[in-house]
Amino acid sequence: MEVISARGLGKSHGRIRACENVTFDLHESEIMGIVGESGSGKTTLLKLLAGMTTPDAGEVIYGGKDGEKLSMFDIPQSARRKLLRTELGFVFQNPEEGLRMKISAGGNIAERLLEGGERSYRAVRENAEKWLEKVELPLDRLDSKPEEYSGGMKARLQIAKNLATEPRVVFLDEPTAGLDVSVQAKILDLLRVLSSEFGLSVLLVTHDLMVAKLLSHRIMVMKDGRVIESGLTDRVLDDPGEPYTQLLVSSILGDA
Amino acid sequence: MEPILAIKAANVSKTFVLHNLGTRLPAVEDVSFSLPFGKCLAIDGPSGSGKSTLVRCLYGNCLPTAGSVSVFGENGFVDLVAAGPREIMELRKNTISHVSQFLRVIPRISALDIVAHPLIEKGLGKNEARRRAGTMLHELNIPERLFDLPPLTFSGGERQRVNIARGLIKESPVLLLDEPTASLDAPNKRIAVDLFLAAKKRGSAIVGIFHDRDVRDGVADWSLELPSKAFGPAKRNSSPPAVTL
Repeated sequence: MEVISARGLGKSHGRIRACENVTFDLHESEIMGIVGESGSGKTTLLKLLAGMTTPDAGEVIYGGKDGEKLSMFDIPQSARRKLLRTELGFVFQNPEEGLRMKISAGGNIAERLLEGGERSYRAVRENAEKWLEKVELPLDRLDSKPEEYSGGMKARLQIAKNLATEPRVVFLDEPTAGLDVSVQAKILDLLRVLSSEFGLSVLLVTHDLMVAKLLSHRIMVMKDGRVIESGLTDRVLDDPGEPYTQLLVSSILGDA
Repeated sequence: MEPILAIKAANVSKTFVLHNLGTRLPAVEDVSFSLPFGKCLAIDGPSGSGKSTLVRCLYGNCLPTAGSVSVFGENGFVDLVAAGPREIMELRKNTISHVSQFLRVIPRISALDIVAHPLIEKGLGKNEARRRAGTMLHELNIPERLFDLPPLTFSGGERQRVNIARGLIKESPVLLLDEPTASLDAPNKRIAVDLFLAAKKRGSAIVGIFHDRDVRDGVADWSLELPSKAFGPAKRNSSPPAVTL
């Protein structure tokens, strides 16, 4: 079942075409990687797909839980916002954009759970603890404010917050950048388990081809706002057809 | 009765085009064979003759430049050259397993979970999947104290056995083996051979690259020799490949 479908999606920032004619389907339980150099339009595409930026052309269709198809930009903005707080999650590259820095870590997670309809204080607290544990944040930091966290801890808190409402799709913008390698592995495993066992669909923007290779089923390679090559992750990375993809792959340090 | 074919490869060629270096590397040239279920074909040939590339073409990891590769999946033959990514994912989930020389996994996942994962992906419950993974690891002589550890900490031979366990656990109808026993000692090699034979007996078709003579002779029914590329362009096989059905 498709959860996100993009049809001819396009967006310009002034004279720059950040995203041009992107069409694809993301299915339930599927992990899709979006790779390419900075400035290639990855983040713009991610924000379009999540309904956070309005496209100039094309549409995004969200396949809801009960099979209904919602054209993301035909529904009212309030409905889009509600989706983003419940069934969709968006993890920003800069965690400070996705967190409230002045309220506690627990409060950040609780806020999302309450917006998602949870009413029991105890359930909220337990859920917050559960997700903190899953991203390997120490429980005794539940009451600290994110501004007192290190960069890597903020990144993990933002991920925990987004996963707490058990969304159907999460959009991740460079989620492992700035994380210690050991934590990075844990987060990748968490996403993999949520996808294979709980049906979570993931759109993952990364410049790290190793991360894309280990986690995603399919990938899209972006250059100058266009998807220049896409397909099974291992086929695209092991047998790239486009000169630009070949350059990307051959620039990996070590063996992917 | 006609044997049921698992794989049909017709005139498969693969040339890698390296755009940034301005070169073309022919890797596989005009290979044809067919293989029924329950049989094993060994791919022979000197280093650099395209053995791995050919096997990768059978897994959908590599897109042939010419020819076709069809694998018999749950709903009949699927042409890997024409198939979309989701069809190939489906085929990999239910029909084809690939065992390479190396175990490439997300770090920090335990050996047991790595081996159980293909079953969970197929929809089996977590506990049952882990139970079967344990049995499989036992069969491959992995001591139980290692089950909960990530294989990155294991010896080369242990890692390779985890890799074999992961590849065989699903009992896939089509098995692709790329030097799966290269770092195993003699007793473990024998165990691996027995597992491959058991897979054949269950009806799996196997295509394998085996540098080890004993393993190859113990498992393969036929062989296909790829010509060396060391001296100029490869010669076409003057006779059809060694496979006769």
